[in-house]
Amino acid sequence: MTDQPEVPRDDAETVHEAELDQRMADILSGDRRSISHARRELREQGSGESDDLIGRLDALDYVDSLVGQPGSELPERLGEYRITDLLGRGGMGTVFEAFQESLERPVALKVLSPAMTSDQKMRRRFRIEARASATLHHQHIVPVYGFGETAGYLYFTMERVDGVSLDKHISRNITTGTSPDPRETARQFAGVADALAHAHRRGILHRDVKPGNILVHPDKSLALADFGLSKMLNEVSMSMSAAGGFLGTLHYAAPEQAKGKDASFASDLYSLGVTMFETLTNELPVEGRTTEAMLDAVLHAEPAKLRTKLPKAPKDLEAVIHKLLQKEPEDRYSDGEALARDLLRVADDEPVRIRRLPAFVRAWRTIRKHPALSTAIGIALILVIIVLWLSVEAANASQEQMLTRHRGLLDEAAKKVAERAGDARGAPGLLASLTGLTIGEIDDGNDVKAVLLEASSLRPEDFEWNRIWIAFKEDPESKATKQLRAGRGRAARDTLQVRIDELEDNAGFATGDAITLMKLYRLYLSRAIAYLTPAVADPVMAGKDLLRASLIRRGAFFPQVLTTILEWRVMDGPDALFTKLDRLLADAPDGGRKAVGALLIAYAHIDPPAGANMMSFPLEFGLRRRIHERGVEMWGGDEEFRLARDGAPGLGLEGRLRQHGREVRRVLGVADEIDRWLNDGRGIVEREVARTSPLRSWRLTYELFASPAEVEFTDAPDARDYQIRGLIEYLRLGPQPGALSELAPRIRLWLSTMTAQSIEAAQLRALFAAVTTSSDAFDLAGQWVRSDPEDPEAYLCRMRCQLARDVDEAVFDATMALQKAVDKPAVRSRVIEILREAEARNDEFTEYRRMFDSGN
Amino acid sequence: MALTPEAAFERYRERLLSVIYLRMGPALRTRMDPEDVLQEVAIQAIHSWHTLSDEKNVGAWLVTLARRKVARILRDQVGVAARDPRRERKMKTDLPVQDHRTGPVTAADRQDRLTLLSAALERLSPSHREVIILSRIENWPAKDIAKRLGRTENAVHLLLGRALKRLAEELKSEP
Repeated sequence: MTDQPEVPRDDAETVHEAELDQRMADILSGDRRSISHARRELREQGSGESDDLIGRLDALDYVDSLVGQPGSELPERLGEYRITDLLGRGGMGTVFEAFQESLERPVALKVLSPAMTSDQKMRRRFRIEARASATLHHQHIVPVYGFGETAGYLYFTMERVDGVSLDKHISRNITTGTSPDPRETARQFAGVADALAHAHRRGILHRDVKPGNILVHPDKSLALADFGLSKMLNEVSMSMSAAGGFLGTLHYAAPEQAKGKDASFASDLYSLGVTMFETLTNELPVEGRTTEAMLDAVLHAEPAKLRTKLPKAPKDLEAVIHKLLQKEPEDRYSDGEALARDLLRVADDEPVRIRRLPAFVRAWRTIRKHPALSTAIGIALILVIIVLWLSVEAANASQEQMLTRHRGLLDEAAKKVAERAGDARGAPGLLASLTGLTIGEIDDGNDVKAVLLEASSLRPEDFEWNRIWIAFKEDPESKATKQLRAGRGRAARDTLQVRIDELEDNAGFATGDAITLMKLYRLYLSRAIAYLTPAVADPVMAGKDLLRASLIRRGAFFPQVLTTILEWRVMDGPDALFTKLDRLLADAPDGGRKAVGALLIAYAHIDPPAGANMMSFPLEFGLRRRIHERGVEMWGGDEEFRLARDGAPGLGLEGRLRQHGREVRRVLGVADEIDRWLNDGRGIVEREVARTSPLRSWRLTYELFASPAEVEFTDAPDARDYQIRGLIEYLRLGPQPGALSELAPRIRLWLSTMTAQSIEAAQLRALFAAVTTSSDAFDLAGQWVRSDPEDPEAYLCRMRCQLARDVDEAVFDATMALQKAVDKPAVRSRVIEILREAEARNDEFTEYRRMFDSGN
Repeated sequence: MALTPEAAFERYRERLLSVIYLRMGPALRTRMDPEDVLQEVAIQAIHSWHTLSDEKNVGAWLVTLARRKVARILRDQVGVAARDPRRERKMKTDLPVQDHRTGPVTAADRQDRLTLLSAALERLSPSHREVIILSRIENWPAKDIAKRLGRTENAVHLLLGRALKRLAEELKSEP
């Protein structure tokens, strides 16, 4: 791999990787045909390294399938089929119009994307499904003619239907603003329902009923296509793009499919219900703009009523569709045949079977048919009911009162718990682990406890009260919280992942159980924080988790605040950030202001408060100071902040690495200790730092300490970021100039090849010159100060260069650094450290050092 | 039959939208709909159609127009000083990419895959991202990419191979 700092590695491994890279390059230098040929060969090889290359080709295919290569890949023929035109392209392949020469008929030929079919098991499954669907013969099913494999391409052929897909039909209706005739549509869909019944009787599920898989003939009749096949291929496409990317297919999935359970006959009927709804109204019965929102809607939202969107639709049709869209499979139609019959009744304006008339109407009808008998039965029945009701009522009156009260108490407790634990400031512990500052008191929850005790005294055998209490008191994943507080973001993320998976699979998630959701709310928040740690440094994923948390508790304060802080740069600058935070604070509960202050303080710092876990963001220093000042203002006092900061145990991972680096530098000359320290440091990086985190640069820092002369710099562009950061860290820690004598020429060479525009390059140049006491060091440091006059590091660098030249100028720079510092104590100790070293050579500095020491 | 700008545009619509979407990056996409940018490119294409020297190059020509358009927007938007907070726009969490060639589902699916690809590309290093976009999305020949990046053609293929490896990892690791 070349995207990480170059480290000594097993030579054989490096050579092997280089060979693989070259082989890939050879494949890529060919045209499409040779790439497809290479893929086939690799598949036949079936070794670890061919898997690596196939993985790369799959990624290539993913990109190409998305962008499309119009015209360029139209093959002339495939087996006995002569390709005549391109009909369309989808995620799983391309559909061509072709001519089957042996039977002299036009066909639609679907060529599957090679990425979908690179796996042997997959190909076998495809054959089974294709064979099964070829056995279906029905007027409303597009017949599959055959399937085959030529030149590595897997394809199947179907009847070439002279029409468009229902999908396009709907698009057209949206554009023209028309909606179809409801009764006519019911008749069309009766055919599809009958087709499903036909397939279901043979044990074949469609699994992916949606407008894209239904074709509209010129005579307006409909036909289902792609039985079993499209879903199977979708699954593969998903496993390749991993989860998350299934918004398009989620629209039509039944709730049980959305939960990942096996599809059933009833699932096909649900999807048909959604398709009908959309065809009639041009809208979906449940909507969600994001995958998460859509999933939430499919599982929990009540589907829209047909007549609210299309008032002219018959009531019976609304009832039919409503029944199809039931969340529980057993509440839908028992089979497609019954559905088809009801749809035909709707079309012919006859009453359908399922719409249950109100009880009194049914009773009235019966009485009208059999007046004498019914009257007798009716009177007897009413008498029996009255007697029963009175006796039960008497016996249960007190029991029921008690039960109602008990339930009322539980509801009250659950509501309180949700307000406290899932709310406003989020769990104070979480916030503390993010900012390193202890915020306010944790609610002791005595009032919740009092309510629950009362509930338990009423019904001690019902342990619901106990569950609520545990959910309130318990940290849903205390191990992760400990890991977070220790700055171990990556480990915390993994721990939380397991727990979240468990809870998401739990039935409670699907049914929207309040306690499960509350736990998940806290877990999503915790995982968002884990993503924000410097060890993981993935704000995109953090944003997703914050969104999930907001979905569970709409309007919750903490996720909103964090999202705002993460995204302010795409708004209109820091003013917009402050305005938005003020707006959020207007409705915030007590202590909210302080919490926001703490977040801003942590956000603004380069050297974060002890124990803080905020990702280090590249912000310019002027901005940092502004955000810091606003944070301190909200937090309420610098003194309090310092107390919190000095009192907190441990350091965030970034701080720990820096601290560790200083220790390494301290023991550089001690042979017995240096190895242990270096291994320890490398261990921390390997264990705690995610592959993509900028903290990977510390690996290079340690390598440089171990043997600066042996470190090889690679000019691979993606390794540069880490290398530059690593070098900067190394130079900031101030290695002995002697250690640089061999390294220096190579760094110079490397610097000369860098495009010099970035601030990092300027920093590196200046620091390097300062450490090597090069003659141009002072000028370079001056350039850095001019290019970024708000950066205290620039002044510190120039101060180093001034030490041997001019004591007053050096002290002036020290003062400037302190003035520009966001975190003054940290910079003060850096200044003192530098002055202490200078004291050894020039005792003029002693007085100044004491001055800074005493805080003047 | 002479190629009309409308027909050419219809043919390269998906590619142009992908170029615009990916070149815009997540920050700009929250402020501006790629569809709107596409419309502007279409208008520009019609206006400057006479400058197209050879119809065979129409794809590359359109892609260049789209790329320049986005670059111009980025240049104008980035670094704009803090504005009046009252003008702050509501954040869009998702953006509609309507693909007129296909129906709403295919469009939603494509949007979803494009979002996924974009997120994965964002996580790659700049050089990896650039080589994938140039070679696969904007369809530059390896020779031209080599010239632009100051590398040999083989080095470009090596870089692309490694970039694809990372992309495959990113697509798989999307939790």
